[in-house]
Amino acid sequence: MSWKSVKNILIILLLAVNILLAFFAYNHYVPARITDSNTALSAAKTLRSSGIFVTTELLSVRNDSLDILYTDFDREEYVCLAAAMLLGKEADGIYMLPNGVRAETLDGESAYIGYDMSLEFVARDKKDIIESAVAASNSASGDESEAACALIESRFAIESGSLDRTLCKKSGNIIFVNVQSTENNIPLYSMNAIFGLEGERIVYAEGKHFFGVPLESENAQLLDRINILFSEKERGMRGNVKNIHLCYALYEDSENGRMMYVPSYEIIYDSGKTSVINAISKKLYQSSFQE
Amino acid sequence: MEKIKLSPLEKAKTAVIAILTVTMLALAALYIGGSQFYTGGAAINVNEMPSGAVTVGETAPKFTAVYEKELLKASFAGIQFNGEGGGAYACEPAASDLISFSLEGIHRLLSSSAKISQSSAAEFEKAVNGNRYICISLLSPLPYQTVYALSGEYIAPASYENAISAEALMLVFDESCNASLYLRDGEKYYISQGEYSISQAELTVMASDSRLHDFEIANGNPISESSPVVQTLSLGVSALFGHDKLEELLKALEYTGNEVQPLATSSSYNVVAPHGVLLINQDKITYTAETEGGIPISSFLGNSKSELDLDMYDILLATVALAEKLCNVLPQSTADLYIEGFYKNDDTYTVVFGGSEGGIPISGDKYPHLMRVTVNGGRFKSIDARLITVEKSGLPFSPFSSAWEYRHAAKSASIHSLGLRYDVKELPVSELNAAWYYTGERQAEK
Repeated sequence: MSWKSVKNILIILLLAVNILLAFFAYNHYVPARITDSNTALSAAKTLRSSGIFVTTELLSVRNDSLDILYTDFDREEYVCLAAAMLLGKEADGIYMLPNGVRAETLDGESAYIGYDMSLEFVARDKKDIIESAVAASNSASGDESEAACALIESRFAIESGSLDRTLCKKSGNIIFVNVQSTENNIPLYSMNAIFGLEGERIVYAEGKHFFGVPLESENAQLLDRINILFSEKERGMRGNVKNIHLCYALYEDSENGRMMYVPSYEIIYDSGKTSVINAISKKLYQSSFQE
Repeated sequence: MEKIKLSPLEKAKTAVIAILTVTMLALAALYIGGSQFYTGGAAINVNEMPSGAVTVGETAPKFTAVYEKELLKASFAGIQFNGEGGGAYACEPAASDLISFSLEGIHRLLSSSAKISQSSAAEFEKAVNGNRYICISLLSPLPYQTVYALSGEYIAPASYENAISAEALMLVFDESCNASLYLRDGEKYYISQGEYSISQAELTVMASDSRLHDFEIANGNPISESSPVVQTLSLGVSALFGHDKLEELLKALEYTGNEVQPLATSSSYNVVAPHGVLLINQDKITYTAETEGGIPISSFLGNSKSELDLDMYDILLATVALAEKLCNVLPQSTADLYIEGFYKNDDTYTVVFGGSEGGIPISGDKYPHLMRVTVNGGRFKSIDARLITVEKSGLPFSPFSSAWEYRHAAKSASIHSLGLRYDVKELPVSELNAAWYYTGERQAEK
C-alpha cells in the first residue's frame, strides 16, 4: 500500500471520528439545555393530576439562563435619595411610618416612599387637578412622548430607548409616562409606576419604582419550568397555566448592604392570578392567591 | 540523494490530516471533559439565597451590629463648651442625641491606637473646671473593653495592665478640640489619649441645644437643679407559655427533641437533656448545664468558631443574641435591654443584662436582672432570665431634682453615685415610680 493510499484512508478515518465526536458532544450539551417534549409531556401529565393544567409548549423550551444582579443598598439612604428624586431637592424632614417614610420640604411638598418601593407624590400646586388629569388624559404626541421618556430615562439612569413611548398620556401640560422597570429586557416584577411631568419637573408619581442601578452580576443556575410548577403543586396551587415568563424579583439583603435582582418566574393563570417563584431557591416570592 | 518533492495535493492532504487530528483531540477533550465534570443544564442543586435576604418591603429587622443595638445605656449626659452647655437625663431626647454624638470619640479613644494611663481626682477636677467636656454617666460600671465593643465596630480595644470598670466617661477637649477620654472607676480615674478631635462648630451646636438644662459635677457625679420627668410603670409577670411559645423557647435555647415534663405544681415545665436542665417557672427561666455539658455559644454566633478561638467579643455577641432570642419569644412590652455587667473570674465569664425604661433601670429584690448568663469553655453554663411585662401607666411625674437629692444625701454620706431606679419590691405591681438611689460610704436606701 502506498503512502498516498494510507493518507487517504487516514483522512477518511479522522473525518469519521470527528463527525462521531461532534455528534456525541452535541447530544451531551444541547439536550441538557432543552427540556425535551417527552419530559414535558410526562411532567404535564403529572401536574394535571394535581390540578395544574399546562401545555407542553410552555414546558418544552430551552432552559432559561439569567444572572443575579446586585447593587448597594441602604434603606435609610435610599429613601432619602428617592425623596430627592421626586421632590426635586433634599427633603427637610423625613418621618418614619410603619411601612415607609414621608419626606417633606419646608415649602410644603410631601412624598411617600414605601419600603416596598411604592411611591406616592403629587406636587402641592397640582393636588386639585391631578385626579381629573389622570382620568382625562389622552395619548401624547410622538415628540412629547419622546421628550418625556428621554427625560425620565436620563434622570433615572434607565437604558435609553427602553421606555414604551406609546404608553405616554397627556392632560393639559402634564405628560404621564408609564415606567415598567426592566433589566436586560427582563421586567422587574411589580416595579411599575406612572410619573407625571410638567416640563422637566416631576409633579406626580404613583406605583412602584426602584431607583437603583445594578452594579454587579453573578452567574446563577436556574431551576427549569417543570421544577417551578412542581413547587406550585407542592403549595397546593390549582389552575390553568396561561403563561410563564422570566422576571427579576427584588430582594433586600440588609446584612450585606445590597439589593438583589433575583431571576424568578411569573406564572400567570387563566383566572388572572399569578405566582412569582424564585428561580434559584424555588421559594414563593409573591402570589395573588394569598390576597 | 535526490530530495522528494511533494505535489500540492499531497501537501494539502498532510495539512488536512493535521487539522483533523487537532479537531479530533479538541472534540474528545470537550466530550470527555463535559461528560465527566460538567453538571450544567437544569439546576440539579437548589441554591440558597443569602440568609438575610427578604422580599423587598418585608418588615424584616435591618441587620444591626451589636454596637447599634443601644445596649450601652447612660443615666445622664452633659456638655460644657465655651461658656455654653447643659445636660439631660437619659429619659430626655437631648441625652440620647449627646450620647450618639459622643460614641465615635469614646470608641476611638478606647481603641488599640489609644493609650490608657492612670490619672487622678485632681486632674479630673481640673478637666471639669476647664469647661470643655462631654460627660456621660453609665447606668452601671462596665469594663472599658465592653464599652469599646458597644460604642463602635469592634476591631481591637486599647490594652491596659489592670482591669478598669468605667462608670462614668468624660471626653475633654483642649484648645484645638483634640479629645482625651477620662474614665471613672469608683474612686480611681484613668485617661485615654489618642488621635481624635471634633470641630469647634459641632461642639458649639451641641452645647447650645436649648433642650439642655444647667448641671454641675459633684464628686464625679453630674447633678442638675432640673427635675426629670419619668413614667409610672405597671410591671406584670408573664403568663405561662402556651405550647407554641414553649417550642419557640426551646428552639431559641437550642433544645430539640426533649420531653417536656410538667412539675407537680402544674405551673412550670422541666426539660431535661444530656447537656443540662431547663426549668421554666411562672416568672423565670433557669438553665443549669451538666458538668461537661452546656449550650455551645458558637451556635449563637454568625459563623462557627472553634471553642479555643472564642474571645470576649464572641461571648458578648453570643449572649446578646441569646438575650434577643429570649426577648423575642417573650410577650411584647418587656423592659429595654442593656448590658449591666460583664465579669471574668478565672475562665468563667458572667454577663448580666438589665431591664430599663426611659434610661432608668428596673431592678430590686424581686427583679435582680433581666438575664444573667455564665459562659465557660465556649458553652453557656447557666442562664437565669426573668420574665416581666412593662406597661406605662398613669401620668408621668417629676421626682425631686438630682441636685436636691445629692445635697440631702451628702449630709450623711460621701456619695459615689446617684441615679434613678425603679425599685421592684413585689411583682406584679400596678404603679411603680422611679426614685433616687445613691451609693456612698454609708449605703442607705431612701
